[in-house]
Amino acid sequence: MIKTQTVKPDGQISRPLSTEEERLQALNELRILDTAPEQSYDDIVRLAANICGAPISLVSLVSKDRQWFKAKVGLIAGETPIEQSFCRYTLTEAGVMTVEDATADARFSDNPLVVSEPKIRFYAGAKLVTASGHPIGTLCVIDRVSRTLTDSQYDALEALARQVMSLLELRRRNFELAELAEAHSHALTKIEDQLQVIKGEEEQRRWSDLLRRDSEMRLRSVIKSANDGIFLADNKFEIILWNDASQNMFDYTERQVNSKHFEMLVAERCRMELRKNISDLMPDQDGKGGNIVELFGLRKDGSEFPIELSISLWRNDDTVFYTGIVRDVTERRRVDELKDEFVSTVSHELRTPLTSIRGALDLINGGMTGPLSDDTKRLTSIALHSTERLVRLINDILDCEKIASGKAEFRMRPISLSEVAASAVAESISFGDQYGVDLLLEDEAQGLSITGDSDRIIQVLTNLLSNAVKASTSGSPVTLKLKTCDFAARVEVVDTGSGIPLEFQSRIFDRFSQADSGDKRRKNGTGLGLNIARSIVEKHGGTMGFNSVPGEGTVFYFDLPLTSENETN
Amino acid sequence: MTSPDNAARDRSVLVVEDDEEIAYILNFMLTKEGFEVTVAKDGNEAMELIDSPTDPDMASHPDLVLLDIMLPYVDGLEILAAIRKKISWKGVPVIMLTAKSQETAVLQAMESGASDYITKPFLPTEVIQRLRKFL
Repeated sequence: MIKTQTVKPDGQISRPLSTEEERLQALNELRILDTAPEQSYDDIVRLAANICGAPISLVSLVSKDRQWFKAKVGLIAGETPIEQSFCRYTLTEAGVMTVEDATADARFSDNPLVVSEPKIRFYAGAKLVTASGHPIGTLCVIDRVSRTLTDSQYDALEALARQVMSLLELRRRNFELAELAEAHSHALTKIEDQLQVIKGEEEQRRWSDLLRRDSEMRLRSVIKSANDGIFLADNKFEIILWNDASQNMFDYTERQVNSKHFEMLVAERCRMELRKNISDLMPDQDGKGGNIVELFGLRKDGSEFPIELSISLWRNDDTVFYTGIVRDVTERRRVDELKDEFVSTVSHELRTPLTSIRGALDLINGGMTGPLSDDTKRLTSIALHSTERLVRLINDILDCEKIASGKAEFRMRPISLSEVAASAVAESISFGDQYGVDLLLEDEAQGLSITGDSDRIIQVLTNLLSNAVKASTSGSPVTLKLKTCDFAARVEVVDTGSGIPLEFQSRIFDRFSQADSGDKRRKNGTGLGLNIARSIVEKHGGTMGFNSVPGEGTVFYFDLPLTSENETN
Repeated sequence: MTSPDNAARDRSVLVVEDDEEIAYILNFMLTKEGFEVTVAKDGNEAMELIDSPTDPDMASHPDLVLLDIMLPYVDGLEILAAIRKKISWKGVPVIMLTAKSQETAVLQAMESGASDYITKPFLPTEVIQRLRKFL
């Protein structure tokens, strides 16, 4: 009843039956289920129906729970449940399965498709076997009457089944190719994208390289061509960069100083100071806090030269490094010395002829050359007074220069402020008398000791007293007050005179500054006195200031630190 | 010439000063005041006078020396040292004539036995006053 033939699709050896799972996977891979009808498959079923003289022909694909018809002729349903399927049996048969009379076959006799419409009696199905050997469905012909197929009809059915399978394989391969193509194109796109990124990065890198190299080059050229010695040192103070000017100054090549402590660049006696300076540096992102110190540089040959060294501490993320800028100040020192020498020579040279002028005038004026007429006496007096002014001017200029350049010698020792103040008042009394001004001393600092040069402090006090006297009107007193406040001694010189004009107050300590005054007697100062006085106070570690109300009077004051002796008391 | 016990007229002063005009004024004034004045115009002349006690113008030594610090050939400090070393000149007052810019030298001179100092530019009357303290 059942005719079986061996199927050898495409000359392939039939394989052992695959497991149902593998078969279903093979079916899925064809991606044929639920696709739209196609002419090629429709043509084949029509051909099969014609050749076999059957009213119904199907390309039936057997999935897990149904059979689905890719192509059909003579049937309306697109699919049937798997239980009603004839084809599922075909899959396990070797070759074409034929059912001549379904009513006589126990497998199908009660099948709804047999019992009712389309009332199947005859079925012949050729398997559709994939290249991998999995049966996935059938090409079948069905009739409503019981019958058989001729051998040629069997051959044709099998041939057509192979054609269906070819179409399905072709379709699968197309899919694969498309997928492959898509995968390739996707990969290609990705590669292109990556290439683009790489290219972009490359381009960017090239630019940034160029820019970096450029700015680095610029920076390098600045460092290289700088007149000042510039070096860089790491957190261990070891030199990592050394410019040409440094080499010229110290005579070391970059290789010779590389990784050496930069302390080697200063004379041994200056190293303590350098160390202190470095330890005082505050880390700062902007590299601020660099101090300039004057030290002596040490050349390779051991010779020394004066330098100005500026060390800065830099912090970059976790890295700490130091920059050093060195300036050779040999020339400047020489110029300073020349200037000092010049000032001293000029003042000496001026002093000598002045001595003669003043001496000669003094002798004439004193009547040593004989009695003078009143006119002569007045004129020689004027000449003598002018000479006095010249002398004061020269002395003050010299004082200014000496104090400013640090050349002035201060003989610092513990001194009694009260004694110094009393001396200054005593020295100034006769000057006050000339103006009808009494000098008073209010001493609330008895026994206070300061460290200072008594001559210099007296110089400050007499200057302030004489200024106060000149500002006062006859009959009003000038008071020198001594007080203590905190750890300082305060000295005040108080007058009730004309006060300092507001517009002059900001320039009061400037050199050669003198307030405009209608009173001629006040004009014989040098304009240097207050400048000198303030410098002296500052050299003593003190400060000087004033309060003045025009028309009411002025208080000049300065504070001097007390010696520790007072503090312990 | 005269003994130190005689009147002011007979007192002798050695002026060591290289500036001719200042030397003239000092000479003029001191002579008017009745002193016997000898002027040395530079360091060498001063040293010669110190080294030759038999100088006809001088007794064994002058009664006072006015000594400029800055001098040609031999400076005032060296001359001071020579004076202080010379036993026959023992106790002769030496007043230094200085410029204000020579503070260090003045200190040095005072430490080396100078009796006083007068800062240039000085007034002749001031010189006489200082000088009177010693004569």
